[in-house]
Amino acid sequence: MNYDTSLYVENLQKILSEPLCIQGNPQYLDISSSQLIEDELLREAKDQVPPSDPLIKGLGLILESMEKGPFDLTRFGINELLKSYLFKVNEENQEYCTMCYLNCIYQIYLYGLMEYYPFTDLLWEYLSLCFHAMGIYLVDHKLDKGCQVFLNKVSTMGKLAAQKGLHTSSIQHFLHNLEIRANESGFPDLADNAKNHRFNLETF
Amino acid sequence: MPKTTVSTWKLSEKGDSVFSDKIYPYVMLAVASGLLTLLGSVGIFISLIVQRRLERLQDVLEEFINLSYRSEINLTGKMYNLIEKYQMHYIFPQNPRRMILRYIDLNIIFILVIWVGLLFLYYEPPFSPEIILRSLPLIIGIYATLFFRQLLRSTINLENPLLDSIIPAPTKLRSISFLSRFVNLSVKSVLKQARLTLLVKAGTRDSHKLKVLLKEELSFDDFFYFLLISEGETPCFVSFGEISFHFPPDPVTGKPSPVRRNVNVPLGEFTLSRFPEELKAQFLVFTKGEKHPIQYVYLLSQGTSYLSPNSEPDITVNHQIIYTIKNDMVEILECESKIPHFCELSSFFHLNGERYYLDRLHQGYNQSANLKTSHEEVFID
Repeated sequence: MNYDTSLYVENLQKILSEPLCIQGNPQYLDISSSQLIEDELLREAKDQVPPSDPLIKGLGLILESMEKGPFDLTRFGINELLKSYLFKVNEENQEYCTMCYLNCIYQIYLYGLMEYYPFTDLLWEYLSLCFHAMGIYLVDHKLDKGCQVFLNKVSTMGKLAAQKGLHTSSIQHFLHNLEIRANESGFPDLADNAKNHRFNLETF
Repeated sequence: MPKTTVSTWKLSEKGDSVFSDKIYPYVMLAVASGLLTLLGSVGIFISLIVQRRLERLQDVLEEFINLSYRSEINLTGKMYNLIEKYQMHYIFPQNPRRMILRYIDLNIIFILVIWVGLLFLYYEPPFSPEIILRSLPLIIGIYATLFFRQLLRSTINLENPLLDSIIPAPTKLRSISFLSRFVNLSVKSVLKQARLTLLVKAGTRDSHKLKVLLKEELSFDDFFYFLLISEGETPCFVSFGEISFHFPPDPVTGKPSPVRRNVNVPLGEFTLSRFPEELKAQFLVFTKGEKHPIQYVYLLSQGTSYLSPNSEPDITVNHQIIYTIKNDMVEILECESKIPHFCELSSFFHLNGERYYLDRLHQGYNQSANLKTSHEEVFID
Protein backbone atom coordinates (compact mmCIF):
# COMPACT_ATOMS: atom_id res chain seq x y z
CA MET A 1 0.00 0.00 0.00
CA ASN A 2 1.15 3.48 -0.86
CA TYR A 3 1.03 5.88 2.07
CA ASP A 4 0.82 9.03 0.03
CA THR A 5 -2.24 10.87 1.30
CA SER A 6 -2.79 13.05 -1.73
CA LEU A 7 -2.46 10.09 -4.06
CA TYR A 8 -4.87 8.12 -1.91
CA VAL A 9 -7.41 10.91 -1.79
CA GLU A 10 -7.09 11.61 -5.50
CA ASN A 11 -7.62 7.97 -6.25
CA LEU A 12 -10.71 7.86 -4.06
CA GLN A 13 -12.09 11.06 -5.54
CA LYS A 14 -11.71 9.62 -9.01
CA ILE A 15 -13.54 6.47 -8.03
CA LEU A 16 -16.29 8.22 -6.13
CA SER A 17 -16.93 10.82 -8.83
CA GLU A 18 -18.31 8.10 -11.08
CA PRO A 19 -22.09 8.15 -11.12
CA LEU A 20 -23.76 5.86 -8.63
CA CYS A 21 -25.10 2.66 -10.11
CA ILE A 22 -28.28 3.02 -8.14
CA GLN A 23 -29.90 5.47 -10.50
CA GLY A 24 -30.76 2.99 -13.22
CA ASN A 25 -32.64 -0.23 -12.68
CA PRO A 26 -29.86 -2.79 -12.47
CA GLN A 27 -30.83 -6.01 -14.15
CA TYR A 28 -29.44 -8.45 -11.71
CA LEU A 29 -31.28 -11.24 -9.95
CA ASP A 30 -30.82 -11.15 -6.22
CA ILE A 31 -32.08 -14.36 -4.64
CA SER A 32 -32.57 -12.84 -1.23
CA SER A 33 -34.87 -10.13 -2.49
CA SER A 34 -37.08 -12.28 -4.68
CA GLN A 35 -39.77 -14.23 -2.90
CA LEU A 36 -40.54 -16.51 -5.79
CA ILE A 37 -37.87 -17.63 -8.25
CA GLU A 38 -39.27 -18.29 -11.65
CA ASP A 39 -37.43 -20.69 -13.92
CA GLU A 40 -37.50 -18.31 -16.81
CA LEU A 41 -36.02 -15.50 -14.79
CA LEU A 42 -33.38 -17.85 -13.49
CA ARG A 43 -32.39 -18.85 -17.02
CA GLU A 44 -32.20 -15.22 -18.04
CA ALA A 45 -30.10 -14.42 -15.03
CA LYS A 46 -27.43 -16.86 -15.99
CA ASP A 47 -25.17 -14.32 -17.63
CA GLN A 48 -26.20 -11.27 -15.65
CA VAL A 49 -23.43 -9.21 -14.14
CA PRO A 50 -24.03 -6.59 -11.47
CA PRO A 51 -22.99 -3.10 -12.51
CA SER A 52 -19.63 -2.07 -11.17
CA ASP A 53 -20.28 0.03 -8.12
CA PRO A 54 -17.92 2.92 -7.38
CA LEU A 55 -18.99 2.84 -3.76
CA ILE A 56 -17.76 -0.71 -3.28
CA LYS A 57 -14.46 0.17 -4.89
CA GLY A 58 -14.07 3.11 -2.57
CA LEU A 59 -15.13 1.05 0.42
CA GLY A 60 -12.53 -1.56 -0.48
CA LEU A 61 -9.82 1.07 -0.51
CA ILE A 62 -10.87 2.41 2.86
CA LEU A 63 -11.07 -1.02 4.43
CA GLU A 64 -7.63 -1.76 3.06
CA SER A 65 -6.30 1.39 4.70
CA MET A 66 -7.83 0.26 7.96
CA GLU A 67 -6.03 -3.01 7.76
CA LYS A 68 -2.56 -1.65 7.13
CA GLY A 69 -2.39 2.08 7.08
CA PRO A 70 -2.31 4.78 9.69
CA PHE A 71 -5.62 6.11 10.93
CA ASP A 72 -5.27 9.34 8.98
CA LEU A 73 -5.71 7.53 5.70
CA THR A 74 -8.94 5.98 6.98
CA ARG A 75 -10.07 9.39 8.13
CA PHE A 76 -9.45 10.92 4.73
CA GLY A 77 -11.21 8.01 3.13
CA ILE A 78 -14.32 8.40 5.26
CA ASN A 79 -14.25 12.12 4.68
CA GLU A 80 -14.16 11.64 0.90
CA LEU A 81 -16.94 9.09 1.08
CA LEU A 82 -19.18 11.41 3.07
CA LYS A 83 -18.32 14.37 0.88
CA SER A 84 -19.35 12.48 -2.20
CA TYR A 85 -22.55 11.51 -0.40
CA LEU A 86 -23.43 15.11 0.39
CA PHE A 87 -22.58 15.98 -3.18
CA LYS A 88 -24.87 13.35 -4.63
CA VAL A 89 -27.82 13.28 -2.28
CA ASN A 90 -30.86 15.17 -3.53
CA GLU A 91 -34.62 15.33 -3.21
CA GLU A 92 -35.29 12.32 -5.45
CA ASN A 93 -32.70 9.82 -4.38
CA GLN A 94 -32.42 10.80 -0.71
CA GLU A 95 -33.62 7.55 0.82
CA TYR A 96 -31.82 5.10 -1.40
CA CYS A 97 -28.63 7.12 -1.63
CA THR A 98 -28.47 7.53 2.15
CA MET A 99 -29.02 3.83 2.60
CA CYS A 100 -26.21 2.90 0.20
CA TYR A 101 -23.67 5.26 1.69
CA LEU A 102 -24.55 4.46 5.26
CA ASN A 103 -24.23 0.77 4.57
CA CYS A 104 -20.64 1.49 3.57
CA ILE A 105 -20.09 3.51 6.73
CA TYR A 106 -21.68 0.73 8.76
CA GLN A 107 -19.27 -1.79 7.32
CA ILE A 108 -16.33 0.46 8.11
CA TYR A 109 -17.69 0.86 11.63
CA LEU A 110 -18.14 -2.88 12.13
CA TYR A 111 -14.61 -3.44 10.91
CA GLY A 112 -13.45 -0.85 13.42
CA LEU A 113 -15.09 -2.73 16.28
CA MET A 114 -12.88 -5.72 15.65
CA GLU A 115 -10.77 -6.92 18.54
CA TYR A 116 -7.40 -6.15 16.99
CA TYR A 117 -8.29 -2.83 15.38
CA PRO A 118 -6.32 -0.36 17.49
CA PHE A 119 -8.11 2.87 16.59
CA THR A 120 -11.69 2.01 17.56
CA ASP A 121 -12.05 5.04 19.83
CA LEU A 122 -10.59 7.41 17.28
CA LEU A 123 -12.77 6.04 14.53
CA TRP A 124 -15.94 6.26 16.59
CA GLU A 125 -15.15 9.76 17.79
CA TYR A 126 -14.49 10.85 14.20
CA LEU A 127 -17.66 9.23 12.90
CA SER A 128 -19.73 10.84 15.66
CA LEU A 129 -18.46 14.27 14.69
CA CYS A 130 -19.20 13.59 11.04
CA PHE A 131 -22.71 12.38 11.83
CA HIS A 132 -23.41 15.55 13.74
CA ALA A 133 -22.49 17.81 10.85
CA MET A 134 -24.24 15.63 8.27
CA GLY A 135 -27.49 15.36 10.23
CA ILE A 136 -27.70 19.12 10.53
CA TYR A 137 -26.90 19.50 6.82
CA LEU A 138 -29.69 17.11 5.84
CA VAL A 139 -32.24 18.93 8.00
CA ASP A 140 -31.14 22.31 6.73
CA HIS A 141 -31.55 21.13 3.14
CA LYS A 142 -35.02 19.74 3.90
CA LEU A 143 -33.98 16.19 3.10
CA ASP A 144 -36.08 14.83 5.93
CA LYS A 145 -36.72 11.37 4.46
CA GLY A 146 -33.04 10.80 3.91
CA CYS A 147 -32.41 12.10 7.38
CA GLN A 148 -34.88 9.58 8.78
CA VAL A 149 -32.91 6.75 7.20
CA PHE A 150 -29.68 8.33 8.35
CA LEU A 151 -31.00 8.65 11.89
CA ASN A 152 -32.07 5.01 12.12
CA LYS A 153 -28.74 3.76 10.91
CA VAL A 154 -26.75 6.09 13.15
CA SER A 155 -28.69 5.09 16.23
CA THR A 156 -28.12 1.43 15.45
CA MET A 157 -24.42 2.21 15.44
CA GLY A 158 -24.78 4.27 18.62
CA LYS A 159 -26.55 1.45 20.40
CA LEU A 160 -23.85 -0.98 19.42
CA ALA A 161 -21.22 1.48 20.56
CA ALA A 162 -22.91 1.83 23.96
CA GLN A 163 -22.89 -1.93 24.35
CA LYS A 164 -19.21 -2.07 23.50
CA GLY A 165 -18.45 0.58 26.12
CA LEU A 166 -17.64 3.35 23.66
CA HIS A 167 -18.65 6.86 24.63
CA THR A 168 -21.97 7.97 23.26
CA SER A 169 -22.05 11.53 24.52
CA SER A 170 -21.38 12.96 21.04
CA ILE A 171 -24.20 10.89 19.61
CA GLN A 172 -26.52 11.95 22.42
CA HIS A 173 -25.56 15.51 21.75
CA PHE A 174 -26.16 15.02 18.04
CA LEU A 175 -29.58 13.46 18.60
CA HIS A 176 -30.56 16.29 20.90
CA ASN A 177 -29.39 18.95 18.47
CA LEU A 178 -31.10 17.19 15.60
CA GLU A 179 -34.31 17.10 17.62
CA ILE A 180 -34.20 20.84 18.21
CA ARG A 181 -33.25 21.59 14.60
CA ALA A 182 -35.93 19.33 13.19
CA ASN A 183 -38.56 20.96 15.39
CA GLU A 184 -37.46 24.39 14.26
CA SER A 185 -37.47 23.37 10.58
CA GLY A 186 -40.96 21.90 10.84
CA PHE A 187 -40.29 18.16 10.87
CA PRO A 188 -41.98 17.06 14.08
CA ASP A 189 -41.88 13.37 13.10
CA LEU A 190 -38.16 13.49 12.65
CA ALA A 191 -37.78 15.29 15.99
CA ASP A 192 -39.87 12.66 17.77
CA ASN A 193 -37.85 9.93 16.17
CA ALA A 194 -34.60 11.56 17.27
CA LYS A 195 -35.90 11.89 20.81
CA ASN A 196 -37.01 8.29 20.87
CA HIS A 197 -33.63 7.14 19.66
CA ARG A 198 -31.92 9.28 22.27
CA PHE A 199 -33.92 7.69 25.06
CA ASN A 200 -33.26 4.20 23.79
CA LEU A 201 -29.59 4.61 23.04
CA GLU A 202 -28.33 3.02 26.23
CA THR A 203 -31.10 0.56 26.93
CA PHE A 204 -29.96 -2.94 26.37
CA MET B 1 -61.89 -13.63 86.01
CA PRO B 2 -58.92 -15.24 87.72
CA LYS B 3 -61.00 -15.93 90.81
CA THR B 4 -63.61 -17.94 88.96
CA THR B 5 -61.02 -19.93 87.07
CA VAL B 6 -59.20 -20.74 90.25
CA SER B 7 -62.42 -21.97 91.80
CA THR B 8 -63.11 -24.27 88.83
CA TRP B 9 -59.59 -25.59 89.10
CA LYS B 10 -60.15 -26.30 92.73
CA LEU B 11 -63.17 -28.31 91.63
CA SER B 12 -61.13 -30.29 89.22
CA GLU B 13 -58.85 -31.43 92.02
CA LYS B 14 -61.60 -33.76 92.99
CA GLY B 15 -61.07 -35.66 89.81
CA ASP B 16 -63.75 -34.41 87.31
CA SER B 17 -61.17 -32.84 85.02
CA VAL B 18 -59.61 -34.59 82.00
CA PHE B 19 -56.14 -33.19 82.70
CA SER B 20 -54.53 -33.49 86.03
CA ASP B 21 -53.98 -30.10 87.57
CA LYS B 22 -50.39 -31.00 88.40
CA ILE B 23 -49.47 -31.86 84.84
CA TYR B 24 -51.42 -29.12 83.03
CA PRO B 25 -49.14 -26.14 83.76
CA TYR B 26 -46.12 -28.19 82.72
CA VAL B 27 -47.80 -29.14 79.45
CA MET B 28 -48.60 -25.51 78.84
CA LEU B 29 -45.01 -24.49 79.59
CA ALA B 30 -43.80 -27.19 77.22
CA VAL B 31 -46.13 -25.82 74.52
CA ALA B 32 -44.76 -22.33 75.15
CA SER B 33 -41.19 -23.51 74.90
CA GLY B 34 -42.07 -25.46 71.75
CA LEU B 35 -43.45 -22.29 70.24
CA LEU B 36 -40.32 -20.47 71.30
CA THR B 37 -38.18 -23.06 69.55
CA LEU B 38 -40.25 -22.65 66.42
CA LEU B 39 -39.82 -18.90 66.66
CA GLY B 40 -36.10 -19.44 66.93
CA SER B 41 -36.09 -21.57 63.83
CA VAL B 42 -38.08 -18.93 61.98
CA GLY B 43 -35.33 -16.57 63.00
CA ILE B 44 -32.75 -18.91 61.49
CA PHE B 45 -34.86 -19.28 58.35
CA ILE B 46 -35.10 -15.53 57.98
CA SER B 47 -31.44 -15.02 58.61
CA LEU B 48 -30.63 -17.58 55.91
CA ILE B 49 -32.78 -15.72 53.38
CA VAL B 50 -31.41 -12.37 54.42
CA GLN B 51 -27.89 -13.72 54.27
CA ARG B 52 -28.41 -14.81 50.68
CA ARG B 53 -29.96 -11.52 49.78
CA LEU B 54 -27.18 -9.62 51.47
CA GLU B 55 -24.62 -11.53 49.46
CA ARG B 56 -26.42 -10.69 46.24
CA LEU B 57 -26.68 -7.04 47.14
CA GLN B 58 -23.05 -6.89 48.17
CA ASP B 59 -22.08 -8.47 44.87
CA VAL B 60 -24.04 -5.91 42.91
CA LEU B 61 -22.61 -3.11 45.03
CA GLU B 62 -19.12 -4.41 44.49
CA GLU B 63 -19.65 -4.68 40.76
CA PHE B 64 -20.94 -1.14 40.78
CA ILE B 65 -17.89 0.09 42.65
CA ASN B 66 -15.53 -1.79 40.35
CA LEU B 67 -17.17 -0.13 37.38
CA SER B 68 -16.33 3.30 38.68
CA TYR B 69 -12.62 2.64 38.38
CA ARG B 70 -12.90 2.22 34.65
CA SER B 71 -13.64 5.76 33.75
CA GLU B 72 -12.27 5.56 30.21
CA ILE B 73 -15.19 3.59 28.83
CA ASN B 74 -18.86 4.34 28.62
CA LEU B 75 -20.68 2.63 31.47
CA THR B 76 -23.84 4.66 31.77
CA GLY B 77 -26.06 1.85 30.54
CA LYS B 78 -24.33 -0.71 32.73
CA MET B 79 -24.60 1.45 35.83
CA TYR B 80 -28.26 2.01 35.20
CA ASN B 81 -28.84 -1.72 34.83
CA LEU B 82 -26.89 -2.46 37.99
CA ILE B 83 -28.91 -0.02 40.06
CA GLU B 84 -32.10 -1.56 38.70
CA LYS B 85 -30.77 -5.01 39.51
CA TYR B 86 -29.92 -3.91 43.02
CA GLN B 87 -33.42 -2.56 43.42
CA MET B 88 -34.81 -5.91 42.28
CA HIS B 89 -32.92 -7.87 44.91
CA TYR B 90 -33.60 -5.26 47.51
CA ILE B 91 -37.35 -5.57 47.72
CA PHE B 92 -38.55 -8.69 49.46
CA PRO B 93 -41.69 -10.07 47.82
CA GLN B 94 -44.74 -8.71 49.60
CA ASN B 95 -46.77 -11.92 50.12
CA PRO B 96 -44.26 -14.19 51.87
CA ARG B 97 -43.18 -11.24 53.96
CA ARG B 98 -46.67 -10.63 55.22
CA MET B 99 -47.14 -14.33 55.93
CA ILE B 100 -43.94 -14.63 57.90
CA LEU B 101 -44.76 -11.52 59.89
CA ARG B 102 -48.22 -12.84 60.71
CA TYR B 103 -46.74 -16.14 61.82
CA ILE B 104 -44.25 -14.43 64.08
CA ASP B 105 -46.93 -12.22 65.60
CA LEU B 106 -49.33 -15.10 66.29
CA ASN B 107 -46.55 -17.18 67.77
CA ILE B 108 -45.48 -14.44 70.11
CA ILE B 109 -49.06 -13.69 71.17
CA PHE B 110 -49.58 -17.36 72.07
CA ILE B 111 -46.40 -17.53 74.09
CA LEU B 112 -47.24 -14.39 75.98
CA VAL B 113 -50.80 -15.56 76.68
CA ILE B 114 -49.53 -18.85 78.07
CA TRP B 115 -46.93 -17.19 80.27
CA VAL B 116 -49.20 -14.52 81.63
CA GLY B 117 -52.17 -16.89 81.87
CA LEU B 118 -50.28 -19.40 83.96
CA LEU B 119 -49.09 -16.74 86.35
CA PHE B 120 -52.62 -15.40 86.71
CA LEU B 121 -53.96 -18.87 87.39
CA TYR B 122 -51.67 -19.32 90.31
CA TYR B 123 -52.02 -15.82 91.60
CA GLU B 124 -53.37 -15.69 95.08
CA PRO B 125 -54.34 -12.45 96.69
CA PRO B 126 -53.49 -10.41 98.66
CA PHE B 127 -51.21 -8.28 96.56
CA SER B 128 -47.74 -7.76 97.99
CA PRO B 129 -44.71 -5.92 96.60
CA GLU B 130 -42.95 -9.24 96.42
CA ILE B 131 -45.13 -10.14 93.45
CA ILE B 132 -43.51 -7.48 91.29
CA LEU B 133 -40.12 -8.84 92.15
CA ARG B 134 -41.25 -12.36 91.35
CA SER B 135 -42.77 -11.41 88.02
CA LEU B 136 -39.63 -9.58 86.99
CA PRO B 137 -38.36 -12.56 84.92
CA LEU B 138 -41.69 -12.59 83.11
CA ILE B 139 -41.38 -8.91 82.30
CA ILE B 140 -37.85 -9.41 81.04
CA GLY B 141 -39.05 -12.40 79.02
CA ILE B 142 -41.83 -10.36 77.41
CA TYR B 143 -39.42 -7.56 76.64
CA ALA B 144 -36.90 -9.94 75.08
CA THR B 145 -39.53 -11.61 72.92
CA LEU B 146 -40.88 -8.29 71.71
CA PHE B 147 -37.38 -7.12 70.95
CA PHE B 148 -36.72 -10.31 69.02
CA ARG B 149 -39.90 -9.66 67.06
CA GLN B 150 -38.71 -6.16 66.26
CA LEU B 151 -35.39 -7.55 65.08
CA LEU B 152 -36.99 -10.10 62.79
CA ARG B 153 -39.37 -7.51 61.43
CA SER B 154 -36.64 -5.09 60.54
CA THR B 155 -34.58 -7.83 58.94
CA ILE B 156 -37.45 -8.58 56.61
CA ASN B 157 -38.29 -4.95 55.85
CA LEU B 158 -35.00 -3.52 54.74
CA GLU B 159 -36.12 0.09 54.84
CA ASN B 160 -35.13 0.83 58.39
CA PRO B 161 -32.28 2.56 60.14
CA LEU B 162 -31.06 -0.70 61.70
CA LEU B 163 -29.70 -2.21 58.50
CA ASP B 164 -29.37 0.94 56.46
CA SER B 165 -25.66 1.18 56.94
CA ILE B 166 -25.04 -2.46 56.04
CA ILE B 167 -27.41 -2.64 53.10
CA PRO B 168 -27.91 0.81 51.61
CA ALA B 169 -31.20 1.58 49.91
CA PRO B 170 -31.07 1.53 46.09
CA THR B 171 -31.50 5.30 45.97
CA LYS B 172 -28.23 5.58 47.85
CA LEU B 173 -26.40 4.22 44.84
CA ARG B 174 -27.21 7.38 42.95
CA SER B 175 -26.16 9.58 45.82
CA ILE B 176 -22.75 11.01 45.14
CA SER B 177 -22.30 11.97 48.77
CA PHE B 178 -22.97 8.43 49.94
CA LEU B 179 -20.62 6.96 47.38
CA SER B 180 -17.89 9.39 48.24
CA ARG B 181 -18.34 9.13 51.99
CA PHE B 182 -18.86 5.47 52.73
CA VAL B 183 -17.24 3.90 49.77
CA ASN B 184 -13.80 4.88 48.71
CA LEU B 185 -14.17 5.51 45.04
CA SER B 186 -13.42 8.16 42.55
CA VAL B 187 -16.27 10.63 42.49
CA LYS B 188 -14.85 12.10 39.34
CA SER B 189 -15.22 8.92 37.38
CA VAL B 190 -18.71 8.25 38.68
CA LEU B 191 -19.75 11.76 37.75
CA LYS B 192 -18.20 11.27 34.36
CA GLN B 193 -20.72 8.52 33.70
CA ALA B 194 -23.53 10.84 34.75
CA ARG B 195 -22.39 13.13 31.93
CA LEU B 196 -23.36 16.49 33.32
CA THR B 197 -23.93 19.08 30.63
CA LEU B 198 -25.26 22.57 30.59
CA LEU B 199 -27.79 23.91 28.18
CA VAL B 200 -28.68 27.56 27.88
CA LYS B 201 -31.99 28.00 26.13
CA ALA B 202 -33.67 31.12 24.86
CA GLY B 203 -37.15 31.65 26.24
CA THR B 204 -40.06 30.97 23.92
CA ARG B 205 -41.64 34.40 24.31
CA ASP B 206 -38.70 36.60 25.12
CA SER B 207 -35.53 35.57 23.33
CA HIS B 208 -33.40 37.74 25.63
CA LYS B 209 -34.40 35.66 28.58
CA LEU B 210 -32.05 32.71 28.83
CA LYS B 211 -32.88 29.61 30.80
CA VAL B 212 -30.10 27.52 32.26
CA LEU B 213 -30.57 23.76 32.45
CA LEU B 214 -28.33 21.14 33.94
CA LYS B 215 -28.69 17.88 32.07
CA GLU B 216 -27.77 14.55 33.57
CA GLU B 217 -27.64 11.40 31.53
CA LEU B 218 -27.90 9.34 34.70
CA SER B 219 -29.58 10.92 37.70
CA PHE B 220 -26.79 11.13 40.27
CA ASP B 221 -27.73 13.48 43.05
CA ASP B 222 -27.07 14.55 46.61
CA PHE B 223 -24.36 17.10 46.03
CA PHE B 224 -23.90 20.84 46.27
CA TYR B 225 -23.07 22.83 43.17
CA PHE B 226 -21.84 26.27 42.28
CA LEU B 227 -22.21 27.56 38.73
CA LEU B 228 -20.85 30.69 37.20
CA ILE B 229 -21.58 31.64 33.62
CA SER B 230 -19.60 34.43 32.08
CA GLU B 231 -19.57 36.11 28.73
CA GLY B 232 -15.98 36.82 27.92
CA GLU B 233 -14.63 38.07 31.23
CA THR B 234 -17.85 39.48 32.66
CA PRO B 235 -19.78 37.11 34.86
CA CYS B 236 -23.48 37.21 34.09
CA PHE B 237 -25.11 34.42 36.03
CA VAL B 238 -24.48 32.62 39.31
CA SER B 239 -26.39 29.68 40.64
CA PHE B 240 -25.78 27.42 43.61
CA GLY B 241 -27.68 24.95 45.71
CA GLU B 242 -28.27 21.31 46.38
CA ILE B 243 -29.22 18.79 43.77
CA SER B 244 -31.45 16.07 45.17
CA PHE B 245 -34.09 14.09 43.36
CA HIS B 246 -37.23 12.35 44.52
CA PHE B 247 -38.55 9.97 41.95
CA PRO B 248 -41.91 8.51 42.94
CA PRO B 249 -42.68 4.97 41.81
CA ASP B 250 -44.04 4.67 38.32
CA PRO B 251 -47.70 5.76 38.42
CA VAL B 252 -48.81 3.04 36.00
CA THR B 253 -46.78 -0.03 36.84
CA GLY B 254 -46.03 0.89 40.45
CA LYS B 255 -42.40 -0.08 40.06
CA PRO B 256 -39.92 1.92 42.12
CA SER B 257 -37.49 3.98 40.11
CA PRO B 258 -34.23 4.44 41.99
CA VAL B 259 -32.53 6.06 39.02
CA ARG B 260 -33.72 7.87 35.91
CA ARG B 261 -32.21 8.85 32.60
CA ASN B 262 -32.08 12.18 30.79
CA VAL B 263 -32.87 14.33 33.78
CA ASN B 264 -33.08 18.11 33.37
CA VAL B 265 -32.62 20.40 36.33
CA PRO B 266 -33.63 24.05 35.80
CA LEU B 267 -31.03 26.21 37.52
CA GLY B 268 -32.50 29.62 36.86
CA GLU B 269 -32.72 32.27 34.18
CA PHE B 270 -31.02 35.49 33.24
CA THR B 271 -31.32 38.24 30.68
CA LEU B 272 -28.75 39.48 28.23
CA SER B 273 -29.24 42.40 25.90
CA ARG B 274 -28.44 40.21 22.89
CA PHE B 275 -28.12 36.51 22.23
CA PRO B 276 -24.52 35.61 23.08
CA GLU B 277 -22.23 33.77 20.69
CA GLU B 278 -20.19 32.00 23.27
CA LEU B 279 -20.41 31.59 27.04
CA LYS B 280 -18.00 30.09 29.49
CA ALA B 281 -19.36 28.15 32.42
CA GLN B 282 -17.58 26.96 35.53
CA PHE B 283 -19.38 24.32 37.48
CA LEU B 284 -18.16 23.17 40.90
CA VAL B 285 -19.40 20.02 42.59
CA PHE B 286 -19.13 19.62 46.37
CA THR B 287 -19.80 16.21 47.86
CA LYS B 288 -19.92 15.20 51.50
CA GLY B 289 -16.95 12.89 51.50
CA GLU B 290 -14.36 15.04 49.75
CA LYS B 291 -12.47 18.19 50.58
CA HIS B 292 -11.68 19.57 47.13
CA PRO B 293 -14.53 20.32 44.73
CA ILE B 294 -14.63 18.91 41.23
CA GLN B 295 -14.54 21.56 38.59
CA TYR B 296 -16.14 21.39 35.17
CA VAL B 297 -15.35 24.01 32.58
CA TYR B 298 -17.75 24.23 29.67
CA LEU B 299 -17.47 26.33 26.58
CA LEU B 300 -20.99 26.87 25.36
CA SER B 301 -21.33 27.79 21.75
CA GLN B 302 -24.31 28.82 19.74
CA GLY B 303 -26.85 26.57 18.14
CA THR B 304 -29.98 28.23 16.80
CA SER B 305 -31.98 29.10 19.88
CA TYR B 306 -29.77 27.53 22.46
CA LEU B 307 -26.18 27.27 23.60
CA SER B 308 -24.58 23.95 24.37
CA PRO B 309 -21.04 22.69 24.85
CA ASN B 310 -19.47 21.54 21.62
CA SER B 311 -16.80 19.41 23.14
CA GLU B 312 -16.33 17.34 26.25
CA PRO B 313 -15.99 19.51 29.36
CA ASP B 314 -12.68 19.85 31.08
CA ILE B 315 -13.04 18.01 34.41
CA THR B 316 -10.46 18.61 37.13
CA VAL B 317 -10.21 18.56 40.89
CA ASN B 318 -9.88 22.14 42.10
CA HIS B 319 -7.10 22.07 44.69
CA GLN B 320 -7.37 25.77 45.44
CA ILE B 321 -10.55 25.32 47.41
CA ILE B 322 -10.84 23.31 50.59
CA TYR B 323 -14.27 22.84 52.09
CA THR B 324 -16.10 20.78 54.61
CA ILE B 325 -19.79 20.12 55.01
CA LYS B 326 -21.07 20.59 58.55
CA ASN B 327 -24.69 20.79 59.67
CA ASP B 328 -25.85 21.06 56.07
CA MET B 329 -23.62 24.06 55.45
CA VAL B 330 -20.73 24.20 53.06
CA GLU B 331 -17.91 25.77 54.98
CA ILE B 332 -15.10 27.07 52.81
CA LEU B 333 -11.86 26.59 54.73
CA GLU B 334 -9.48 27.83 52.10
CA CYS B 335 -10.30 29.85 49.05
CA GLU B 336 -7.51 30.81 46.73
CA SER B 337 -9.67 30.40 43.72
CA LYS B 338 -10.02 33.19 41.20
CA ILE B 339 -13.61 32.32 40.42
CA PRO B 340 -15.48 35.60 40.79
CA HIS B 341 -18.22 35.85 43.41
CA PHE B 342 -17.42 32.43 44.78
CA CYS B 343 -15.82 33.36 48.09
CA GLU B 344 -18.19 36.27 48.65
CA LEU B 345 -21.25 34.11 48.26
CA SER B 346 -19.98 31.22 50.32
CA SER B 347 -21.92 32.29 53.42
CA PHE B 348 -25.15 31.41 51.60
CA PHE B 349 -24.16 27.82 50.84
CA HIS B 350 -26.89 25.81 52.56
CA LEU B 351 -27.83 22.27 51.70
CA ASN B 352 -31.58 22.46 51.95
CA GLY B 353 -32.66 21.01 48.64
CA GLU B 354 -33.13 24.47 47.13
CA ARG B 355 -31.43 25.97 44.10
CA TYR B 356 -30.71 29.69 44.24
CA TYR B 357 -29.59 31.98 41.49
CA LEU B 358 -28.48 35.53 40.94
CA ASP B 359 -29.06 37.12 37.58
CA ARG B 360 -28.16 40.77 38.07
CA LEU B 361 -24.64 40.53 39.27
CA HIS B 362 -23.75 44.19 38.88
CA GLN B 363 -26.41 45.17 41.44
CA GLY B 364 -24.55 43.52 44.27
CA TYR B 365 -25.46 40.55 46.32
CA ASN B 366 -24.89 41.53 49.90
CA GLN B 367 -28.58 41.18 50.51
CA SER B 368 -29.88 37.70 50.28
CA ALA B 369 -33.04 39.35 48.97
CA ASN B 370 -31.42 39.38 45.54
CA LEU B 371 -31.20 35.63 45.59
CA LYS B 372 -33.96 33.93 43.70
CA THR B 373 -35.10 30.38 44.06
CA SER B 374 -35.54 28.20 41.05
CA HIS B 375 -38.94 26.69 41.72
CA GLU B 376 -39.24 24.77 38.52
CA GLU B 377 -39.43 21.04 38.94
CA VAL B 378 -36.88 18.59 37.64
CA PHE B 379 -38.14 17.01 34.44
CA ILE B 380 -37.22 14.21 32.08
CA ASP B 381 -36.50 15.18 28.50
